[in-house]
Amino acid sequence: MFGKLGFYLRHSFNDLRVNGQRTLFALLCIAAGVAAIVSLQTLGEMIRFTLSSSLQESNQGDIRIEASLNTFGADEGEFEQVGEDQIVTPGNGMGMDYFSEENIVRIQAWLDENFPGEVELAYQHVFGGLPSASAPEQETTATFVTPYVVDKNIFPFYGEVTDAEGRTLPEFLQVPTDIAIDRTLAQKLNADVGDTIRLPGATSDFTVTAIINETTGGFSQVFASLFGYYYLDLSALELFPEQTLRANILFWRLNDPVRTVEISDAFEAAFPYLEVTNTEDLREENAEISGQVLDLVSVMGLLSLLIGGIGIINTMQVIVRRRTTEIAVLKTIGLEAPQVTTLFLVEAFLMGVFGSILGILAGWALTFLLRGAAGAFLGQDLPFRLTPGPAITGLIVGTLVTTVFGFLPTLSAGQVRPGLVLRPQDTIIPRAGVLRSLLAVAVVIVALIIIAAGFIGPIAAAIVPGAFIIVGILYLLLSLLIWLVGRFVPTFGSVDLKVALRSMLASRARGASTLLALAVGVFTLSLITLLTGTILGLFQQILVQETGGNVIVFAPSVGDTLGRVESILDEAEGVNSYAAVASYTTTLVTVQDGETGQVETLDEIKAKIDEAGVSGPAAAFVDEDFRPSDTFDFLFQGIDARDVTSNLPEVEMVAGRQLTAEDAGRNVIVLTENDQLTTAGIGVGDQLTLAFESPRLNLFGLGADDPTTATFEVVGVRAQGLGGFNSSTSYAPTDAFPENVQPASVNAIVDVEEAQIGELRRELETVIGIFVIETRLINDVLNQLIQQFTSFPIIVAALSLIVGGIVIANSVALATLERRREIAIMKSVGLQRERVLGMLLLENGLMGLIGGLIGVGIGLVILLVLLSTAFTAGNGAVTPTVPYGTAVLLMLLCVVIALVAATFSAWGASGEKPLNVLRYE
Amino acid sequence: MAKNTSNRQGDQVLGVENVTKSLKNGEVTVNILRGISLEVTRGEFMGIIGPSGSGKSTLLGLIGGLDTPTTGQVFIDGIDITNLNERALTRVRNEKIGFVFQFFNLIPTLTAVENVALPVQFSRKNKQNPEKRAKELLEMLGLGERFHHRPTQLSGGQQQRVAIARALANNPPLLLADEPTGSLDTESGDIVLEALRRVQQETNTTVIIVTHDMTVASACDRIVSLVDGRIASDVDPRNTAQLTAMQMLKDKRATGELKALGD
Repeated sequence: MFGKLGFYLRHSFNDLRVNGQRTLFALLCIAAGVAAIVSLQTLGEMIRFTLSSSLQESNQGDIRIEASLNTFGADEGEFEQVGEDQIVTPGNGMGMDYFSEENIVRIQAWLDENFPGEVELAYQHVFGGLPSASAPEQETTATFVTPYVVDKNIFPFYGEVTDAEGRTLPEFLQVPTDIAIDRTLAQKLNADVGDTIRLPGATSDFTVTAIINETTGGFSQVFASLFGYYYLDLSALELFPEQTLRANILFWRLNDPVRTVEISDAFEAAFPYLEVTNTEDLREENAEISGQVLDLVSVMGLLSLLIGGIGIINTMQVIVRRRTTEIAVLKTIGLEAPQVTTLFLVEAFLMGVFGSILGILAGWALTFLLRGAAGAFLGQDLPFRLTPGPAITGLIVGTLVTTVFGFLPTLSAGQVRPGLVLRPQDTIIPRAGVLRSLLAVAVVIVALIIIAAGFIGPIAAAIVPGAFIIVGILYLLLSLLIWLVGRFVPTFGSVDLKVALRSMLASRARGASTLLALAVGVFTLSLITLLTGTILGLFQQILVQETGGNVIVFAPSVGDTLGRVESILDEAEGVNSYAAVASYTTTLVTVQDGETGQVETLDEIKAKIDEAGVSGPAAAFVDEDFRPSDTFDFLFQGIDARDVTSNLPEVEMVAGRQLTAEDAGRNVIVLTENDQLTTAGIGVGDQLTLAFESPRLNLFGLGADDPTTATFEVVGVRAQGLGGFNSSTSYAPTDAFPENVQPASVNAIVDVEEAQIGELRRELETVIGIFVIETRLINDVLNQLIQQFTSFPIIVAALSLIVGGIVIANSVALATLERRREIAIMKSVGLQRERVLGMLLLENGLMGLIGGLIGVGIGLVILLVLLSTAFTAGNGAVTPTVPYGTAVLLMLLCVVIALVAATFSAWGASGEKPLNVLRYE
Repeated sequence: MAKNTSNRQGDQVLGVENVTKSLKNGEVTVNILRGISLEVTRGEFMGIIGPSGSGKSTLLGLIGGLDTPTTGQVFIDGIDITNLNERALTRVRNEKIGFVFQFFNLIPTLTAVENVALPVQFSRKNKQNPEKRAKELLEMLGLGERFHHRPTQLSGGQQQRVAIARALANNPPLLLADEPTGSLDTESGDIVLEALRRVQQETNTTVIIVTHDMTVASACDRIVSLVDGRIASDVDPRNTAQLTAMQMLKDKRATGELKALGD
């Protein structure tokens, strides 16, 4: 027993050692797959560790209470209670809900009454609108900046906010005009310590006193880490004359954190409509998120390993073919078929073990390199941390997959006839037989199901056989394709091309499997990059087509904001034109049918929508308690007031007509096409009665007792835009809106001379909460966002392409090994080494091109299908442009990978002396 | 295995009874062996000669259980191997037959000792220590200094002697050699032939050599000549005239005259 085992091991070790190059490529195939698994799983573990440790730090307290009212799924009792409690002040328009100073005192009183001395409280002030910051000396501006306006002496409860010198908030925020910014914001503003920062609505500029180190803030901080953030002390609020204290988040530190759930539950019972997050909630949430990330990366890693598995099949096939005589000898001296199979399986097993070990080391190195991208993806600084789990998984899975994939070719080894030893022939290819092959495939499927179940659970039982069928079909199609190319592509009299095509034909099976590996790799990469490219192109198109200006202005409407914005724009230098629109928040009260005169109330209409189950466009972003009609209110939250003589958008009407100059002063409205409106039966001719108040306030009973209403006749229904500014809103003539109601927000599109943008910004930023952004910047921001979120998936997809490249290198190495005689004969009849190498490169370049065409082609087809589905409902105003240039580049990448791989592995073989091969092998 | 076997009487090691072998090549059937009958007793040193295509190697394959006859029977050490399944045939090859090939066919990744020990390790019956047995045989064949050399580190003659040692590992009654000197120079060929003779004499193993080299044939005690798949002659060493002729051949070989002719 041990003697046999010793022989198997010795024989396999020696064989691996003697055939160094072949072994190296096979090991690389496995190692690349295992490296993908190990690195991705290690990253997943790092993410899990980061998310699950320092929960108090992530939550910035044991309990955190957000002043946001979630209306979805709330019952009437809750609505009433909100109205009675009035603990939260709803923000209007672009403002956020907040706790006023008085309400913070009330909450403190509740704590003193129920848990005296148990809880310490801190809070964070929120500015209205979309915050930005600028550095006047550098003439730079950063948008979407997150402000943290906190009490420097108690915030944060857990962890510390420090700068590079280790100083903390009280040390660097000494006076109200001190500001501490993070590295991202410092880079965006090109600002450093000592520079001046200007914030919208502030009467004084601020001085940077610290650049803050990166912090770990959990998923809630993704935005902040992407676009930058700053810290101000609460005392700085005195520099914002129009601001009163508005806390959007309360942080609680408990004297005894063990009581977290108890105190959190008690508070939630008292105020069930508030968003309360305790460390336990966060733990569960993070576990779910990191679980999903782990699942995703595991599946991608497994995919890479399976691609690598194709390399193993190829290698084992060649090993068996090259050694048919040896196998015949073994059989003549008494080895039975299962023993021969075992011998080769042991070799595959050893390759699996060594390849996996190599893969684990490479995986760790890769983790180190990838953690930056993964950190950006999550908005987290990921500390480098190696755990044994992924390495053990990599070793086991790598070894198993190699052995399982090696099984099929080694089965044919057992079937070699011993008589072959008397007449050795190159052309005899050992076959396992149909029945044995089917049985082996069944065994392989079962083994892979078991392996995959470890990653993705019982669903593997359905996925693996399905994947096998798909792979089988693809394999046959690729074989057919190679046959067609090899057979019918004209050679134009080129001997080199003829030989290359013949060689492709001769090794069709391996060619097909190599193509499969390459195509899968390039497909994953191309789908992500093409999709990203298309989305970016689409946004650029929307920006160009739909804005009609180079500066966009948003502001929550406080007092006569519209008037102020208009007067600034009128007086500013360099403004060529502008269109300012006030947007009103309304609630639908009743609808009177234009034909029958029948009146329906909002509740009746919502009942119809719920019955039909039609969800609005925002349905995807809401929670599970959501009812279809919940999104109906959105349709009336932003009705634009437009000057019918000069400020009408160019839109396609699907019913009725566009507004005209004659509509001035008339109560007419153009609605935007929407499934829910259609279901509700609202169309041209109907009379809509709208109440001018926030539907959310109304829901909670916080609205005015007797809100102003107005009735509008629907004269037209416009097609939906693609989400650009003002592209999807309904609108009515400016003077149709009642004089006593305030618009919720103001937005304007300004066409201004480039040189004057800075000056205009400075003037506009005197308006509180205003957000001024150049369309060029939106583009940059989108680019950055997409890059941040896609860099990690792209790297993951690129891994599978790298594995595909290694499979090609392996395949070429094997082909040259098999064709040593052929190469020697070619050289003996006078072909130069370069010519031989050229033929091999031609053949493999062709393979790379086919692989690229298939992979990128499938990616493109899926992309086009996705786009045509997504844009069927659109008005055709924006046509997505597929980045064909990127597609061509990806195909070229495939060819380059194939050529590099081929050169690398065929260089030595093409230089071999012919006599060595012909006489002595 | 017992089902398909019947014991033969006497000291017979190999019995071939009216064996034919036909191969279909497309629509043409090629009759390679056309009714061969042969008996070989223990300790014989026999050569099978014949021109190319006469069926020598096919006959060797049938005798060695590497292939099965179209008709007829083959007995090895009293066992009818004609209808054995692959598993049983493998056991026969392991225990009853030793093979020596023209191209040595040693496992390139194993040392001399490991190569020789291999059949012992895979034998079901043999309880010998594989390494000890291998070393004994290699010593016997004059390779005591080459135990741990790999095939690539050995000369052709040395490789073939390792192959002979491997063939003898399980102490088989029958040793089949297919052109054992075909890839060797004359000096190495002589050494190998001497080794085979020593094996036959010291272990009483039956040695059958297939060759078309008359120098090798002249070293045999009995020569079966094949022509077109039939036995053309079976030179019996007990026949005086034939012995004389054989002696003459040996003498010519000893003086170098025959070698000169061969060259």
